[in-house]
Amino acid sequence: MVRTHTATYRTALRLTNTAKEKMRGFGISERSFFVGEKPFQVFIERYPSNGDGSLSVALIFGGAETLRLAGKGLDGALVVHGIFTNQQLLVTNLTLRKAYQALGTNWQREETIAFDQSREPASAALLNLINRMKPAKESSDYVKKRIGSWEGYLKIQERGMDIPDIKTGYSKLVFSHDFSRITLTGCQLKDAEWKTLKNLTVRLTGITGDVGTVIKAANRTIEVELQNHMVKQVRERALALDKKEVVFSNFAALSQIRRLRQGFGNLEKGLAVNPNLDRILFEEKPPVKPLQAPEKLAFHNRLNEFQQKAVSGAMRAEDLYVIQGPPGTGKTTVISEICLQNARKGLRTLVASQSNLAVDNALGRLLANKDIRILRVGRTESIEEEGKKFIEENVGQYWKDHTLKEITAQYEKRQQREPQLVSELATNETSYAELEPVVESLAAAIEDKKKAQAQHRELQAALAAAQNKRAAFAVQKDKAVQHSDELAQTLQRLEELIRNDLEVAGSAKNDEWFEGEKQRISARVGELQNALEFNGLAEQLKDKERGAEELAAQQEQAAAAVGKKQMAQGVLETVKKVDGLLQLMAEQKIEEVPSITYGLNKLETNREKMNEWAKLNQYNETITAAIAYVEKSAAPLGVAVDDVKEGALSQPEAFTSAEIDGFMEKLRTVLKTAQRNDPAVLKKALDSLYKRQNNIWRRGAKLKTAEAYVEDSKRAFQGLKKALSEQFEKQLQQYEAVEQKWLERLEQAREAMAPLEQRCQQLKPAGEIPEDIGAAIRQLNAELENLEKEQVAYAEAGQRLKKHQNEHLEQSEALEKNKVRIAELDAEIKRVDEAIAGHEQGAASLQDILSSTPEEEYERAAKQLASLSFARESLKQEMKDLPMLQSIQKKWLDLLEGANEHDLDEIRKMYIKHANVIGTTCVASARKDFIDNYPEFDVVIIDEVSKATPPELLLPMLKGKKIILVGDHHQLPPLLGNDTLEETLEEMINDNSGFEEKRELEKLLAESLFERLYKNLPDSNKTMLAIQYRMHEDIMETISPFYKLENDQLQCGIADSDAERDHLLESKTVSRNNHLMWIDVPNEPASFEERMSGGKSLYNAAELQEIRGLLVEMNGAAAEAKRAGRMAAQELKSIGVISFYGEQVKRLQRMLDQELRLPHLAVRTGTVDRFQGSERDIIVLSMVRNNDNKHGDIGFAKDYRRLNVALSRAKELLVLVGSSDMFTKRAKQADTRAMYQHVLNVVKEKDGLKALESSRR
Amino acid sequence: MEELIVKLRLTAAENPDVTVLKEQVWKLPVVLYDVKISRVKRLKMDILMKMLLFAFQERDIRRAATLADMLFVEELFISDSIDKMERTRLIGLDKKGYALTAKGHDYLEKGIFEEEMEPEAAQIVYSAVHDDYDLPKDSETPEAEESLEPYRYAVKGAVKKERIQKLLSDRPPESDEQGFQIITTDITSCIEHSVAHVPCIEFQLYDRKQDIFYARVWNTASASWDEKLEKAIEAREVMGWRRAMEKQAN
Repeated sequence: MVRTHTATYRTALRLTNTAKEKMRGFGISERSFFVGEKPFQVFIERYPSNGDGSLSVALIFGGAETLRLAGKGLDGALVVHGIFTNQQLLVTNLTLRKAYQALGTNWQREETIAFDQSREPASAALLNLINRMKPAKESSDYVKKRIGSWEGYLKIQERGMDIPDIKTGYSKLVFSHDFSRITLTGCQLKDAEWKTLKNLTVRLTGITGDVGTVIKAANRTIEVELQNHMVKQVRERALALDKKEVVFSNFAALSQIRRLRQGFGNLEKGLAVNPNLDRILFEEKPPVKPLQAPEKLAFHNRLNEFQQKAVSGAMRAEDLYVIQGPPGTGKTTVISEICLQNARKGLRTLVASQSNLAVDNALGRLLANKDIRILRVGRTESIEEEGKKFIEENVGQYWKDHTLKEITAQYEKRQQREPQLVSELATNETSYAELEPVVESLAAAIEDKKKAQAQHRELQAALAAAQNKRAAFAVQKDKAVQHSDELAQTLQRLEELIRNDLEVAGSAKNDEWFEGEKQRISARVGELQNALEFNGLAEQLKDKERGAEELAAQQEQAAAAVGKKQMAQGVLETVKKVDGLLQLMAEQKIEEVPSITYGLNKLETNREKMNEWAKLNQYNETITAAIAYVEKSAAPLGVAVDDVKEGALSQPEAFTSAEIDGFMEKLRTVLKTAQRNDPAVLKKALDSLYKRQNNIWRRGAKLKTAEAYVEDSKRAFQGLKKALSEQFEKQLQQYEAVEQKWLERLEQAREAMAPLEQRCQQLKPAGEIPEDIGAAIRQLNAELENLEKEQVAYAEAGQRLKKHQNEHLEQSEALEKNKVRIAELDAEIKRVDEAIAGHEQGAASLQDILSSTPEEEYERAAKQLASLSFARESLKQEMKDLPMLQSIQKKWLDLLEGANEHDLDEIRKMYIKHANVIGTTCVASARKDFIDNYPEFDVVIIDEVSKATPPELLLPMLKGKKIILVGDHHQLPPLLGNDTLEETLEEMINDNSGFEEKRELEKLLAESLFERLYKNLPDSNKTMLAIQYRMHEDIMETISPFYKLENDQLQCGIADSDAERDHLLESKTVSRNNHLMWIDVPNEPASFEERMSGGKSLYNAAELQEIRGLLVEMNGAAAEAKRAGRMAAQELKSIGVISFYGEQVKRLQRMLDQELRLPHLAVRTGTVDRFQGSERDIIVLSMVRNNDNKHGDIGFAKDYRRLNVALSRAKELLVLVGSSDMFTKRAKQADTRAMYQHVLNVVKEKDGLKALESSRR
Repeated sequence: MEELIVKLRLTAAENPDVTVLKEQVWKLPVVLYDVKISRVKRLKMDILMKMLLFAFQERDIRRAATLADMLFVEELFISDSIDKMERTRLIGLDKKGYALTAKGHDYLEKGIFEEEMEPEAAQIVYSAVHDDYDLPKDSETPEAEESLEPYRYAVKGAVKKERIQKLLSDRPPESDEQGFQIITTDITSCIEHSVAHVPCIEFQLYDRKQDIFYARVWNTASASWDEKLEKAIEAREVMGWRRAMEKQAN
């Protein structure tokens, strides 16, 4: 893809160390990027952005640029990898890309970039450009993922592909009777090789080229189907095959698959001419661009509305347009028209199809038009007769033929032109002479009319003015009348007001009365307010008295408390004991001040010391007695008492009272036992006793005597009493102060009451006082207010009255004036009305002349005159040119007629150079030489799309800017090799070849690419051709249901089916008005289907016999038709005998070859699948299936698409031969039965159902 | 001949299911004609270029489109040719339109000029059954014996001049003089010289397995199994063969 570039982008460039090292490795100097600041032409590929979002790119240098950069050729294209950091290009690595990898793919952009060493950021335009690019890897991955779903097709075809050529001898080679096949026996092959033979191509030593394809290899016998174009050679070389050597090869098939794979690869690499192709093919909603604005097309063919829509849609579409073409709807006409329209626009079109036959059919029906230069590209031997004239070596001849034809026609036409010209000129002049005066008189009439029009316009203007005036007067009068009404109303209102005011002003109340009333009410209000104050004061006085009484009670209470205290003071003097003091303190709530606490503690301590002293005294007595006792006992036993005493006293110890008690108890017990005589015990006891005695003595020494403590306690008690007495005194003083306080407050209260009592005395009310004084005051105030308002109203009414009386006077005057004005206006109106009547009369008198229309007539006549004059000029010119043109064309004719190959050679070359409609098969469009010659097309039209697999379709699609698909998904899907898809699948399952994706594959095959695109495209990008011109309408009715879900219903475009589709035959079975028949074979064993032993295909002998009879009958009928002059003597009725089953077709053909001679018929046989795309006058369909097995199996016949094809081949007459019960009642699926039932219903309706001829049974 | 028949029989009946019902040799008549042709020699010149030179000579033409309409030739072709002629200075554009240069005039004259050549005599072979015209083979083809039956469906046909002319024109050129070509302009006479008889060997065959009757005919002139003859016989006789066999069986 070459794009034109204008902009040069600029970017600074820096290199990482890795990159620098790589450059040195390649022997490139860093500086070479910057030499002369000359820009480089590079291909930019974007990579997914880094984590930090910086742009990552590869700049690929093509061969020439790499050479410039490196200063030498490198083995590939140099790729500079870099990222844009801080908007500067940092080169991170350099690599070499293999030279064969494509440059300029859709994922790349070719741009001109200049590098520099500055620190400036790269141009924003460059960054934006890269930002907008889709990363190459993502795009490529997307395609790879989607295209994976198409792999299935290739997988089927690739089964067992990988085998080398097999060369072997054979012992015997047998040609079939018609040289269509050969059978080889005695081949030396390994067992494994036998299995791989099917579908391999076959070469025989002694014959150049592939002779054919293996169709069967079993029982050591190989059957080969010969290619048509090889038959001649084989017939010649049949005797010369001495070497008996054969080579089996799958090279052809492999190279085909390789091309299909290459198509996948190219799409992945982004090598489609239309950069959106992948998305259009794979996205659920194909993202097609909106159509271009419509333009007026001049159609060369006569097209119906649907065909016109298809052609203009296809011309307007930018990228994809899909045409759904049911049988016989003129697809080729549409293709032809599109090719022509493209040619006129200078566009080059590729017409591709799956098979050579379809390509040739399409090209053969294209127009012979000088604008269209058709070239058929492909292997000459596989091109059919129709396409042959368009191959390179024949296009010169083709061009000559059609140019000669055109020129001859023109030349001959012009030869008769001269006399015609003379007479035309004469006629022209006569007509001119006649027409001229007519035109002049018409011109005068127009002038008169113009005058009248001017007069009329004046009158109209005056009339309009008068009418305006009248309208103005009317408006004025209306206004005056309205004004009078208003005035009368105003007067009435005023009178009313005056009446009201008079009522007010005339009442008895006046200003004096109002003042008196006001004074009276004010006085009463004063009285009531005094009473109100008195009541308040009396209340206050009562409150004060109550307060004084309370204070007196308080004072008495305080005096009593003082008395009580004084009594308690007396009691204190008499108390003798501490307990008594404590009780008194509690009773009188005496606070325990420190002096009291001290006294109490002192008394307590003294009591304790006295107790201890008594106790020690007691212990001393006991221990002393014990010592005496023990000393007495011990001394005789030799215990040294003094020593013991001394020892004990030398170690003083302390003992508690409890311990002493315990010891004494223990001692007493010991001394009661025999131990009392043990000196050691006694010694120890004695030691212990001394120690305890010593301890007690020491403790006793610390205490005073008991008498001293008693004396001390007496002193403490007196002190305590004194302290208490002080406290009492203090309390008493407090109580007295309280009493004094109350007394003072009582005095104050009594003084405060005196003025209140005085005021009360003054205010004591004299008159009658109501209970609720407040309400009475409020009421009086309200009365006062009303009175004031009334007084104001009284004053206002007086003023108003004066004003209204004045107004009344004025208005009355105005009313009088207005009445005069109305009378004046009436007079004016009358005058204007008279004027209007006068104008109208004047205008009416002009009406006749105005309504005449000489202009149109004049225009017509003038135009005619001009065209006559123009025609005369061109006739004169033609007259002048004629001999010259004739002489030149004559010369041209002579040259053309005498032209030989040499003369046409240049033309042939030019024709090829300027060829604008190229036809080839899908697969051939991917051949290398084709790609080299035709890398891309403006438009690619693919015909019979539904018959090609997606991988096949992809190949031509890759080459087109715009793609137009033509097909019909209600007809049969692609064949794979010789087999239908179902057969292939069945075989694969039987082979148990481990093909696991069967289910996936079935899904894939269930819906075609065409169907999906057709369904998902917006309405603007698709059309169904809904008018068919092939079938008699009766026949068409059988297939209508297959298209009933489409937007448009299938219609018959033949105006009179019975006349235009008359088959002309009349026989016992078939009558002239039969166009649709079903010869019903009974569902009985005698008519059942049969299977060849060992074969998989079915046949039906009963149907064969029936068809034999039918054909004989038709042959006779054709002979009769010729005798009756309905058919030309040389004419042959074209008949197709077709069947769902290959074996039946084989037997039909044998029957035709061997048992029948039908000189008036041109009979062709074939399977329904093979007949797709063909048409015949009459079709006989042998349905074969007829059985009584439980499943009601009807095999391939259940596919509605196959039935559709079978039913839609006939133009004039369709005869079904088969069991209606089998298909409409016994078939397994309900919808299958319904499908055939519809056919049967239409047949019955057309009176075409016939029972099997009994004579033929 | 016998040897050939044996070999052919073997080949025809190589299939064990096939039996030879009948075998016969007969003669196919082909007619030899003596033809005289007139020839001219002229400069090889592209037809369109010649026409354009003529046109420019005759008329003032400025636009390729004018010529395209007149000659019913695509404008592109005319533009291409005009470019080429301008480049080679055969024509030039002046005020009125294209005009021939001196070189152009000279060239056109040469293109028109035809040198009359000696008339040539040639022989052709015509097979009416095949509607085929051919030059006599160099190698010797066996002439059928007098005694042989002629082909039973032989037809008489009249030769067509154009077909003969095409056949002779399509012969490879003799000594190719630089830039010149020799053109057969007319057939001046065409006289039947003789009738030759090509021996043909016919096998009537039956394939038991397929229940098929068919014919094989070896044409010794073309040294091949002759489809045309086989089909002609089959179309007329196969049903008869079947009837005969059924009769025999009964």
